[in-house]
Amino acid sequence: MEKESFERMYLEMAPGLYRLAQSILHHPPDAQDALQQAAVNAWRSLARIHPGTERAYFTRILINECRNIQRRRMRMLPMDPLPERPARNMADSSLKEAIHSLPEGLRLPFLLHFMEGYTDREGADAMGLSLSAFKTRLIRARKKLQKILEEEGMP
Amino acid sequence: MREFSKAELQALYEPLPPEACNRIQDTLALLPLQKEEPIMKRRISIGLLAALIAILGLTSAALAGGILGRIQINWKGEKIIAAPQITQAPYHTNSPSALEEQHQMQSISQRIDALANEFPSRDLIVSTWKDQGAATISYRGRSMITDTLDQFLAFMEKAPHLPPLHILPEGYTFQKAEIYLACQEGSQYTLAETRETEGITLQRYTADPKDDVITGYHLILEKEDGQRIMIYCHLYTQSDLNDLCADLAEDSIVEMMDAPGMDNALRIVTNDRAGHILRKELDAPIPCLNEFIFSTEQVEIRPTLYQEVQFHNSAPLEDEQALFMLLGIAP
Repeated sequence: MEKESFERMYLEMAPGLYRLAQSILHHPPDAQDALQQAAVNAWRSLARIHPGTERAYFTRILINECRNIQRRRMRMLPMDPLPERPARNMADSSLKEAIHSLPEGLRLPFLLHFMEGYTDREGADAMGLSLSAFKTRLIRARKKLQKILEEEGMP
Repeated sequence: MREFSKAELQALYEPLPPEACNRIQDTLALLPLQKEEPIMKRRISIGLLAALIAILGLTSAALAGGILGRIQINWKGEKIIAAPQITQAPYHTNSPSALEEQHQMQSISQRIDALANEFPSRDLIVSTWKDQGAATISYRGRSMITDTLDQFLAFMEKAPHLPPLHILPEGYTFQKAEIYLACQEGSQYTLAETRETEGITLQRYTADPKDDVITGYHLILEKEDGQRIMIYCHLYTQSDLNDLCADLAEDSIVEMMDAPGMDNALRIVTNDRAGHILRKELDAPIPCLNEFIFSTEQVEIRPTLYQEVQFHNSAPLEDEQALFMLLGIAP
């Protein structure tokens, strides 16, 4: 793939990838870092990408990069717990709070599928899961989110 | 359960700022020039921010007082943005399930620390455990801890790429140092042991000491009254000269500093501590194996290209001059 094509494709996907990075890191500047480093890593390993699987591959690289940033946080300030989720901020929507109260293992499948429109296959590839595991998580995520929203009085 | 539209969900997150796109384009534009080791313009964010907090010895007091604010500064010492306040709050939530999960995470983290500490610090420890069915990974990098100055200096002789320390400041004694290690590119980590306990899988990797590359250190000097000088020295892949974030008290003084031999230098004064952040491009980039990527069920250890060295140092305000003497950069 030519660099121009790669760049165009990555930038087209960047808004969605940025939202996913925010959902993991809860810190937009770090999410931008992750997005940028993921671009570099994706370019480096371009030869491994099969045509048609670019979005899943980029997402997987991005998730890995988010993990690296989380680890750096943990390493640099071990006395402070790793920020797994944002605070319940009155300014935030209750829906966002509810989504972020899902464990990451359920939150990501939910967002990949419902927010970004990934197919089950794409989502599974992006998360390194089997297809059935991804589908199971989607069901669990929906059920759990429903329960949370009901508890919050949001049908 | 009601259905959610894509637009409704997407609106929950900040849109991608145009400048972030520009940075990606700038970075990609540099790739061919760098062949297999492209330059990345990286925002210095939470990592350095955290180090800075630690350097200035502010963490406890500042968090307790809720006085920290995210302030974006540049290498000219200018405060660019006073972004929303960062306090302990964003990292906590009040819901019972969230508290329980947080407690579980802390518990796992403590168990991993305890297990990893059973292994020599020279070894790389990769820990994985299942969280909601998904594998989660953490690692403890390789390091050596020494409590003698002679041993520390002997190590430093093996790190000509790091600026040497000069004079031990009067009144201070060597307390301890942790020296961080990676392996030189072309060498390899060897899986020496796998241990499974309490749902956690630990893999211990060893490396041949002859392949060691010193990637930094954390040095503590102490006075009789308990006051400390702390020197954090680390190699970095690439920093963005225009972006440097810090959590500082609003009345912190941030200013450019003249530090001969360094490319950039900032001085930060908060309460009774003085901190210096210094950066210098390396004469020659240093490739190492020191990046760990987890994919499905295995860990991939990738090369990293270090291109600059940074110091994050601090001392009691009255002993600030000692920081210059230590690095031999008296202005």
